[in-house]
Amino acid sequence: MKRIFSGCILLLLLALTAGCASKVQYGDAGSAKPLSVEFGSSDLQQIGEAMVDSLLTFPPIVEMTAQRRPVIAVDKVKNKTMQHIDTESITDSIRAKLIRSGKFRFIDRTTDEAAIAELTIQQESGLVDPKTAVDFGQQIGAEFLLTANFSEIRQRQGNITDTYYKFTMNLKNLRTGILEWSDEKEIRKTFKRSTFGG
Amino acid sequence: MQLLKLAALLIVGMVALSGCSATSGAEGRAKVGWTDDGAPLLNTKVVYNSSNLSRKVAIEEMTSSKAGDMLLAQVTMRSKAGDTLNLQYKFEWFDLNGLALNAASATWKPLIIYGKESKTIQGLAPDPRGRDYKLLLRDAD
Repeated sequence: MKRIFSGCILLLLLALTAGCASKVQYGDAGSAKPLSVEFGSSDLQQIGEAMVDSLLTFPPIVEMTAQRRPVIAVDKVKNKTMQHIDTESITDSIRAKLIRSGKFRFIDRTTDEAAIAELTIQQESGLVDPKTAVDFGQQIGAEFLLTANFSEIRQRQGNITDTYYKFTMNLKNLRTGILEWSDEKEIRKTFKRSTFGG
Repeated sequence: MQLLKLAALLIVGMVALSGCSATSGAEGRAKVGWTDDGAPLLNTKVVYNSSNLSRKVAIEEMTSSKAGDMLLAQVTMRSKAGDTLNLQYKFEWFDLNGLALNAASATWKPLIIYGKESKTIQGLAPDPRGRDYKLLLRDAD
């Protein structure tokens, strides 16, 4: 009797302390487990994949990219959410996927300063063989501009928080000003605060 | 005495269950082949690794289509459950020789299926090399 009782106590302690030890481990970078209604990694991945899939399957784009790889410039995302989000990370992810599809080529204006410095050295320092030095004014102009809007609607009712995200992306023809493609990805996340505990 | 035994059993059960969450799900594999006449033929094979999931959802149809030279996969599934299912899925792509194209970068996406509803999901190959695909489906953890 006493032995069973002490066994019970021991097991109860075990049950209570199980999982209490601090530990660090690798997680799955592609996991879709939401931790909060804030913008998370899975949201970024979902937006990236949805935009790329939509753009690459849009019939006029399929036709246009069948024979050539148009050059695109990426504009900054207009972040209209209430959160501080690294929106460049979203467009970087979209750009990487589009480049890897082999359908588009991109110009990157964020590294122009370094490129100008390098060209200046090649042209003016006298260190570089003029036959191999790259001239100014040789870069290809972008044919399209990829623009995006990111907005959020948040509603709170009692212990429920509902967040709706909408990411809209457009492909603008720089010569004609026409939007050749546009699509949006919606994400809804709901958090219900438990009555007991946190 | 009896009560104590019951309590002991209950606690043992609690210890055994704590921290347990099954991550096995279902896998649907689709291989694109050709018939003798040259028409495309899709060989599909669905494996349910979780009896819990196989009771709740059935993969009904796996097809594919071309968007230019890129393969577009489409899978239709039907919920057998009465309540809403919270699932996750991802597509993995393979080239002609069966080499994985996006094994490391494929990410899980949430999938909500309402009671007894059938749902269609699509996935695009990461590049024109994609020939075969695998759909992985699991319960949202």
